[in-house]
Amino acid sequence: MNCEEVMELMQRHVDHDLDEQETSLLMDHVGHCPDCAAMLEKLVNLSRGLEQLPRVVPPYSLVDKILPELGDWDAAAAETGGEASLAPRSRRASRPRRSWIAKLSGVVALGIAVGVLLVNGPFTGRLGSSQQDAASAPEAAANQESASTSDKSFSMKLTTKDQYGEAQEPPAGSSSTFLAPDTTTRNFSSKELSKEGAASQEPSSGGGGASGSYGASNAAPSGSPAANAGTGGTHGENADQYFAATPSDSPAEPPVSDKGVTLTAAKEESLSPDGKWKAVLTDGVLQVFNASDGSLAFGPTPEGGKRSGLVWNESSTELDYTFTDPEGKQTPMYLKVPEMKEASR
Amino acid sequence: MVEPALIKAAQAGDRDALVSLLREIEQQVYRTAYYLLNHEQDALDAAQEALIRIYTKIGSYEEKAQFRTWVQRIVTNICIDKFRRKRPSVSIDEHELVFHAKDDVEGEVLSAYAAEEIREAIGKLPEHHRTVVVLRYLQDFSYNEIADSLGLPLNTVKSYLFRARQQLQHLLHDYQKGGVRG
Repeated sequence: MNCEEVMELMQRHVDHDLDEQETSLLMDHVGHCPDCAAMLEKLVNLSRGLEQLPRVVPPYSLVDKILPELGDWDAAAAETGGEASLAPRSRRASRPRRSWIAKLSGVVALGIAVGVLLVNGPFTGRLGSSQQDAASAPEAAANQESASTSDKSFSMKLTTKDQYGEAQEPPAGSSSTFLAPDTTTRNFSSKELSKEGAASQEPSSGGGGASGSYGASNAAPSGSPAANAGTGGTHGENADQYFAATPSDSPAEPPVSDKGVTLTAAKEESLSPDGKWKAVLTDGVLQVFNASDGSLAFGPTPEGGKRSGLVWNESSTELDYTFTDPEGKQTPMYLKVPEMKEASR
Repeated sequence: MVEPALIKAAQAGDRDALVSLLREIEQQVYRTAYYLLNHEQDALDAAQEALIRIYTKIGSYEEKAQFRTWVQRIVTNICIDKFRRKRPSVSIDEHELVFHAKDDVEGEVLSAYAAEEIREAIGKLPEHHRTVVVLRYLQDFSYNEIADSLGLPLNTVKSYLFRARQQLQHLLHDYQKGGVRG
């Protein structure tokens, strides 16, 4: 078993995909091949680092934030009947006892909305638009009563309930697995905390949004929610399309250094004889692209050391070049295609 | 793990069930968006869009697929769409990272730094490599689950993942060598 074959075993090893026999093959090889042993250690370290990435959580409850929009969609779906998968009637039937609370909370919420508008006058952004909506709110509310009151006001209730606490309620039974086991989460959330000022406005605008949706759901029942549902279809079913060829979308990107400075240095391109691959050297950094769709197949190679002098073999299975290390020492190297494995001659 | 009974109820039109189902998955949806887009606000937008789509499309979910792979398919599609439209992507810039690192207690900097480096490196991967890495490590998906989510052949998933790890090693190696930060 050669080192290249072992590489695949190593990769599968970190994914816990090896059976006993394969594991002992790997360990045997690693036992007497220091290069592979070092490689395995690096790979295990990387994989561990990836496994320990912080399980970041949103700074506020996303579901609370979108409840008003969901209510709009329900209203639109109820009116159009059509493809809506939610049947408002059956939902209401499933919890009839809530209806009086729903009506009451609807009225209370409307009162709050109107009250807020009266007291605070002009608003910005989304609340501003709810002001217009509120003008037609009385009729809207009247319609709501007969249409989908329980749903609408149910969403309001949820929204207002969490209005003052931004800590979202973790969903029962799932939260523990989502939260970070390690302390690094803290660092991530510190960033989120720095945006707390912005985030803390969310609940109030969420409440405003809910009151706005009273009017909005009536003003535009088939507008945005329906459009939203429409675009949804094309994406959901057809994941492959995103991985399919999109030549215009994947241009050969020049390597950009960490500091954001685009390297404008010498660029060398070489198309493989079979026309399938395009190798690009930019300031000694090699990238190989799939010529048909422009996707990146190899690289970019790390900086520190430069590659130069691209030469394809006739069968387009090997790309030769010279590697010059930072000390100026030159090594002939080649890239095996389509495996995209780099090796020295 | 979302209870099958909850999914059934949601599909049958029980709005309460559907909303609590969304609450159960919102963190995992956000996490994928966060690591794919490498930008908090974009991730929040994408995650919300995904949740709305799940809400409106729950009827089209078929049991033969795993629910969580179906969910991840939706969120990854939205994210891929987003970063294709918004290229070149503006990620959280370097100054901000350094600034936050300095704010932290010294002991925490070391461990957090590594995570930040890795996250940045993931952000430099080509989109399909990045997606595969995120599903493998942030959702703990198997090769098969990744293949189902992305509609890719199993072997393609493996080669993307293997190549992605090699690229990450190169990127992180660079990072350590060019260590002017911190």
